[in-house]
Amino acid sequence: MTTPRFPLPVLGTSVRPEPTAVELPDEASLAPGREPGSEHGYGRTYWRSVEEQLHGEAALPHRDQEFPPGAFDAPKGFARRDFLQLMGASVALAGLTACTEKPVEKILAYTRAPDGMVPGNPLHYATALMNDGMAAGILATSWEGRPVKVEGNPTHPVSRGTTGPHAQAELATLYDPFRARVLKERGAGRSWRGFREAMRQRSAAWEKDGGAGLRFLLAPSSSLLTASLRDAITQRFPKARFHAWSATPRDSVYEGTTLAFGKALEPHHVLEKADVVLSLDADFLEARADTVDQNLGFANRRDPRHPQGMNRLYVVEPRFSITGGMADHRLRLRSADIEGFTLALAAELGKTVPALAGYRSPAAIGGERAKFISAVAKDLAGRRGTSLVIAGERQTAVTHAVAHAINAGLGNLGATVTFTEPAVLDTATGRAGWEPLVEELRAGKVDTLVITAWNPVFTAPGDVDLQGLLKKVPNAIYLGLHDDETSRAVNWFLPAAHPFESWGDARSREGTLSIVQPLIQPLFGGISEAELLGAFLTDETKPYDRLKALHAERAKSDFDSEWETWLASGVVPGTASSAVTPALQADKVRAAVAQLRPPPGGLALELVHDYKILDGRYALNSWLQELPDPITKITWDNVAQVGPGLAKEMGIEHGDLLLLTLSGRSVQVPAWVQPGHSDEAVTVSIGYGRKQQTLGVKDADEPVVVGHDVYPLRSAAQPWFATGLEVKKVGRSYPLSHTQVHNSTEGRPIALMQSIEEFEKHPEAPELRPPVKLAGGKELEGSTLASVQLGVDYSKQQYKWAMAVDMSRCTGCSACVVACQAENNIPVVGKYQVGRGREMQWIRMDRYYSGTAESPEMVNQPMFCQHCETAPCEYVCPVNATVHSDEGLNDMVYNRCIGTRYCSNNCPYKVRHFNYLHWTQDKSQVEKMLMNPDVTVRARGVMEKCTYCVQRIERTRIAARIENRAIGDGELRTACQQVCPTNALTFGSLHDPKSKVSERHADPRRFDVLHELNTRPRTVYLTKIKNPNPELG
Amino acid sequence: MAAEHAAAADAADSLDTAPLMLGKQDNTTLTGNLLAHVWARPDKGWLLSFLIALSGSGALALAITVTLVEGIGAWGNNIPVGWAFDITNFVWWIGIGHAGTLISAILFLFQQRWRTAINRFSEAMTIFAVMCAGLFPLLHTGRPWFAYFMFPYPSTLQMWPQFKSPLIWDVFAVSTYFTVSLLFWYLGLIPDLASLRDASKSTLQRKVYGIFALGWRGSGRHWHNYKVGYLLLAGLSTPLVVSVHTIVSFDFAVSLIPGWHTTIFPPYFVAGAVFSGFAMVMSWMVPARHFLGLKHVITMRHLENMNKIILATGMLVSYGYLMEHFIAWYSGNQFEWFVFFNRATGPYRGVYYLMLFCNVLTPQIFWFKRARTSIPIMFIASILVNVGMWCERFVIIVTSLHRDFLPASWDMYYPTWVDITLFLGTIGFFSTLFLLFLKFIPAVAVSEVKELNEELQHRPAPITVVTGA
Amino acid sequence: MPLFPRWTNTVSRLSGVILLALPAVAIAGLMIVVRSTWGTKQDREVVQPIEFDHRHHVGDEGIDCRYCHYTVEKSPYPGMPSTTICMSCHAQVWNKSPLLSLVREYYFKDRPIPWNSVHNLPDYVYFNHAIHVNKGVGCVTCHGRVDQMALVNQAAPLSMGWCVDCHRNPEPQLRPVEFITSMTWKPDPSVDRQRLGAQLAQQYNVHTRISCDTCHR
Repeated sequence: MTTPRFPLPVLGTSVRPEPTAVELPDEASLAPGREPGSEHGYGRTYWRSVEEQLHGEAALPHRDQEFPPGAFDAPKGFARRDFLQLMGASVALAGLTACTEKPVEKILAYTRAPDGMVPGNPLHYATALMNDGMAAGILATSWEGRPVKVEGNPTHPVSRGTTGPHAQAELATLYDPFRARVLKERGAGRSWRGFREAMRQRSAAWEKDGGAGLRFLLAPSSSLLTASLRDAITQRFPKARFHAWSATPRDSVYEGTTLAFGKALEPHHVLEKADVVLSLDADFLEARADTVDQNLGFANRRDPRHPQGMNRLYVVEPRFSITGGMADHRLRLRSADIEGFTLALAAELGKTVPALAGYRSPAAIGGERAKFISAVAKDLAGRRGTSLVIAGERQTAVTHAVAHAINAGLGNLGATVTFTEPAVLDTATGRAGWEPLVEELRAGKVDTLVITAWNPVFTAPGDVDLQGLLKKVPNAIYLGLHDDETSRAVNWFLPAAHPFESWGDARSREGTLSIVQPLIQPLFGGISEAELLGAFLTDETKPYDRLKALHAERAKSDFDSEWETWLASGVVPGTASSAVTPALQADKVRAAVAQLRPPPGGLALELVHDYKILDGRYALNSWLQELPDPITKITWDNVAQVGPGLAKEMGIEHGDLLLLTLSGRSVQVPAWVQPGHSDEAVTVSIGYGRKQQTLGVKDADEPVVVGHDVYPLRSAAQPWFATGLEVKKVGRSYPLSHTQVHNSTEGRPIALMQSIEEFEKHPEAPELRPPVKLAGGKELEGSTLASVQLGVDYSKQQYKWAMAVDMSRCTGCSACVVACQAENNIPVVGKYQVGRGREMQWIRMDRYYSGTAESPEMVNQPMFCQHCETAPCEYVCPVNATVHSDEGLNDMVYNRCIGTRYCSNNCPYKVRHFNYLHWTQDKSQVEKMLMNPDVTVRARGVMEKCTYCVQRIERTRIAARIENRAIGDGELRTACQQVCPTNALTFGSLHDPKSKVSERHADPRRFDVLHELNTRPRTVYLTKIKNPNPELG
Repeated sequence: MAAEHAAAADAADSLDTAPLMLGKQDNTTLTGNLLAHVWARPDKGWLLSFLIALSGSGALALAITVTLVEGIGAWGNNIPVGWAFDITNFVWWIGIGHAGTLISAILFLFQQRWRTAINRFSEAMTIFAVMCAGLFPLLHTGRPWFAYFMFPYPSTLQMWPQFKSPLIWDVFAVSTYFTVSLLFWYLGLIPDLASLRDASKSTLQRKVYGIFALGWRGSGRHWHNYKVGYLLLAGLSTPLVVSVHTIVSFDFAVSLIPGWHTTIFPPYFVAGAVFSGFAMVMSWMVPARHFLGLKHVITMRHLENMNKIILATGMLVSYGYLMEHFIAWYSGNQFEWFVFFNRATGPYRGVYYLMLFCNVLTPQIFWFKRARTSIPIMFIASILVNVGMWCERFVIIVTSLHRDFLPASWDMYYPTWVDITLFLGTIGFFSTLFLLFLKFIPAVAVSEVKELNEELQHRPAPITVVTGA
Repeated sequence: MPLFPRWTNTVSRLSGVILLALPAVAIAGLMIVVRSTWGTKQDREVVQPIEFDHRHHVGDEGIDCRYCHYTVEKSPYPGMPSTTICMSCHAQVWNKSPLLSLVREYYFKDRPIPWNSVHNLPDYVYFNHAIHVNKGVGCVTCHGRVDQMALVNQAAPLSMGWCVDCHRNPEPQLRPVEFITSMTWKPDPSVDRQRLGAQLAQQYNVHTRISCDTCHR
């Protein structure tokens, strides 16, 4: 791969006008020496180096040089670290400084310094990211115009300053060097102007027939800009049609409300108010961008000291989900049986709740399930107005409707569940949405199909041969980030601009509008959806101007100044849609229920969207691929999860390849024996099985197939689950890389979990703490660096940094793992190396099971450097490379480390990670842009570990000291703490008795892991408390 | 064999089970037959084995190159198993180095006559073993080119090594041990190099041996200084025999990992070291005395005594195992107990049982005189003990690390081809040096043997150690 | 006839001496080299693309450092002047001078001037100008008499030891912030330097740290 060329980042304030349509270079014009893109409307264009400017691409270093990558790159602007960080570290750390003269570094000043920017200090821009059309507000940290970190926007009602793993990993997609760069017509490079010209010629024909053959297949969206463009297009071509497609549709939610209330509505679950929650196959705690707010509401009620007391969570689901892991009681049930379960519950409630009288379950339910149902019913009935039943997106409309009926019957409507008009433009994004389109395609009625939905050829259900159908379309156009299955099936492929590269707008689930502003100039000259749609209109207004025009009337006073504040705050005030209180159409629901028949028995196939790569759209994101799945801990693969019973019956073991056959179509998937999984079902996640090349993977220079594709098993009619699955063992085994091989605590008191009664009777935690002071009342301290730092009295320092983890709140969503990876330049090592136990993530999300394999209980324990006051790693290091700071940090000094690995051997928590290979070698220019300039990039042969984000501490400290003040509590947050959707992590100084971390350290639930070793960790844990129902206990 | 037993019958000393020297020897015969193998042209056997050994050294060079170019990632090590083959080999080789100093120093001070014939042999072994051992501490670091950070020198960083770390102690212990052993060995060589010089046929040989003989003329003054120096070095290296492996054992004992954090380690490691050291000497001496025709000076008496020591140290090692397990149980510490439970039942149990068989059962056979004096048995036994001692180090290092405190961090270790090549390579390197030694230097301290011969002839003659007073 | 001639005795003795002396000399030599101005690169002459003379601008014209290095008080980096700043004066004065033709070219072609950096810290060292300047460490303390340098060179060794020395005992290096950029400020000889320093440290709340994470992250 040659060094990618890209125009330089956006600089300065956010009000810069939209770029004039980027002249996409033809293949020919990509040749070296081409003048870099002129004024893109983003103010001046600054280039990487004088060499490039004077001698063009040829002058730039290539990877086949003897020195580490970048050794001779000239830095850009002031950010000399930015581009030299990696090389500097590798040269220095690799010890080459000993034998080579370091090249004289260039300092390139701006010709005109952008206003508002102080080189060396990052800026933060507010924007928004969409997941299936619904937005979460984010803040992007930008260094000299280079976004390197994403945080949640505190002012945004959904993200509330936090994000899930996907938003954190978004940057790895933005800087993916394998993103598409060239606009192609049938494989031949074309320019954007050429494309527009081609469309202009065709539009004449459309204007005659009103665009009868003009069809659009868009991704789900809530963008008002897109909406206005769609209107404009339909005005010009009345017969043109728009369809929306997502492989993870939320149709059933809207169909459910339509059935229950007569119109499509967006339900919102107020978990903070709910005392009893029943999840019907709803994984509502998975921290997705559009639902991340639910985590905090729920977590607040897991605190035994919450004024309303702890909530209680019942979960009914086939597989073991994050939500299932948090459940107080869990029932394994095939998705197909959950309809029946819901009705049986309604029936049971009907005995006490008149509004629910007359419901009947199609099949008789007995035994354990009946017991469960009666207990749940009792609990729910006892908590009218403060209970909540949530149906999952994979469930049928009827389940949703009945769930609404139950909520209505229990008086929860408007209390624990509220409704608004949907923010998305299309409520039908699944089968209903595109069935008509598929019909027209079959009939060959479509002349032009514009696709912006993500890779429909790949995500189409097995019984729809979209690839074949596209052949019938003379003029198929696809806008995508990567060259993929769809791009190969169409005749026009346009490289898409990343949301961080384009102007737009988006609405959150409850309607709040955010302006999407570009953080950087299109790296590969991509085109935004708005630009593409604009190409079908006569006026050539830029999306940026359309956007301003569109929202102009929102301004109460001076538009420009308000626009500024909207951009700065990331939300447009007063745009949240008002809650509606719908009336339940009980008779309609009953009618629908009456037609239900009990589902056929036997094995069921359960398809789920993958926790990490969703429907596959993040498949090329190496951070997410390497993220261990919160439940299975598998990286770089999807698996067929089978229950322990079925596994025993069929003799299935981890990694056995299974042949799954459903209605004639079959695929091979490696098995995974999952405790707590239903024995009547097999769960597989979609989105895998594509041949791909992924950023930063040491052992994958060649494209490799990652995981196994199960879309063929999917049918348009039954997208999520289907009965009648046949499972055969192939007889071969498939290697899986997972980060945790042992799942039990072996009875060791390391991850405490207590029921609330036990806890109130006798909290175990205090027994697991060290004496506060040692004999003589002296505060213990770690080995200070005698040669540089003479003995320090730790109690006398200004700050005493410490951390506390509330395991009651932690769902294991692993957003912190990715956030840490982004903040600290942690490398990706690839499947093979993970399999060899060399993963580098500084946070290891330890997951332990207890109880039986059929109904296990799960406890999550994020494990990272404990910053022990008497750290075992420190006294064994021969060269003083890991020593204590005066404020109690266990410093790891990379440039002093010689890599004996003794510290890791002697670390009882095994939270140190060693650079066994030169993970950071051979990084392309684009990948280097991802690096955080405040953190050293580690080279081969050095140890690394959690530093409590020391770079943040030092920045905040210096800022505070310049102002001659102390760092306030909460002013300084570590990356993991900042992202955590449930506030499970706290960081601060123990010298401040009122700080949150001091509070948690004093909590009766606080305990120290392995306290008996007297390591005196500064990171402590709070016991996980559960609230089981005595009746089921 | 039969001949040796017959000879044993008319032993000079009726208390001696077997004579220290067979037949009537005088200085001329001794000079002749002890230097013979140096003058003899290398035979096919030697050439063949040297070729094999040399290729082994080649493999070592390759493995080292790969390690330096690729990084430690070329090995199987991971987190939690940060040390594996590398440190296992280090400890094993250091241990093997122990026989030499023990024989030359301690047995010398205890005036054990039978050491004379075998000390040269085992000292050479010490030096070569320590050379092999020394490779690993350097190679196993992630960035060997910065290894100089471990030495205390006034740097512009104002940084010093961390003297609390056992690894620093290692640096000094091992280098001291190597230096002293080398001097000791060379000092003993000087008179023999001189006799080689004098017996040389060609001028070149004469000159070469002459240079290394450092102008030895065998004058009374020379002999006097020689004896004094020899005694001093013996005194110096005696504590080293104990200290080196004690300090190596600190690498583990000082940590807090269950299975490492054990106060019994120092004595138990030293015993193990002598155990493996003698075994290695045995494995080489049996063939060597046969092929080099040294049976008359390295007699069954020597071999038997060594077997007795192997038995004794073997018992010590077994006691070490026993105590480890007992304390693990008695301590009531669940982490500690789990480690030993895991050694016996975990994924690496095979190595564990092999270790028990080789180190505990095998030496027991030496309770029987028939076994002690049977060449094939002692040869096989010595090989087994070497295998067993390697397994012991592997068990201690890998099984303790791969499952320690937090079950979520547990993982497995599998060696790569580089690991294995490195290990076999050092054996090849060791053999190369040793074969060269056997070719160019008298494998037996001629002068000392002559001295011993005098004593044996005019007995009762107390062995007098000239102290220079 | 002896095997070796007489003179070989001398040779053998000599070789013995050399054997012992060589390592000692070599090590000592290295120690000296890394401390020499060559080892610290202090004597390295870094030629700049444009003949900018600090003697003239700082010395003769008495322009304050912060006029050009404008971010030194708020950013880790001192801030290299953008070409606009050069032109703000040189649009009026010397606007025909051939010495400045290159500056004008860079300015009008909108290309940055490729200065060569003189003070090069390794990238794993995070030095922050703002905190030092705000706490009374003057420019001249580390950069030397720039007003007397035709071509700026590295005045201080910039070795870790050098940093740590000052961090251990900052008082003698402190000066009133109003003189922070002064090249010529000298403490009033009547007052005790250490006492003055202590007093300033008090006033500016100077708290030097020598934990590793102060500079290495």
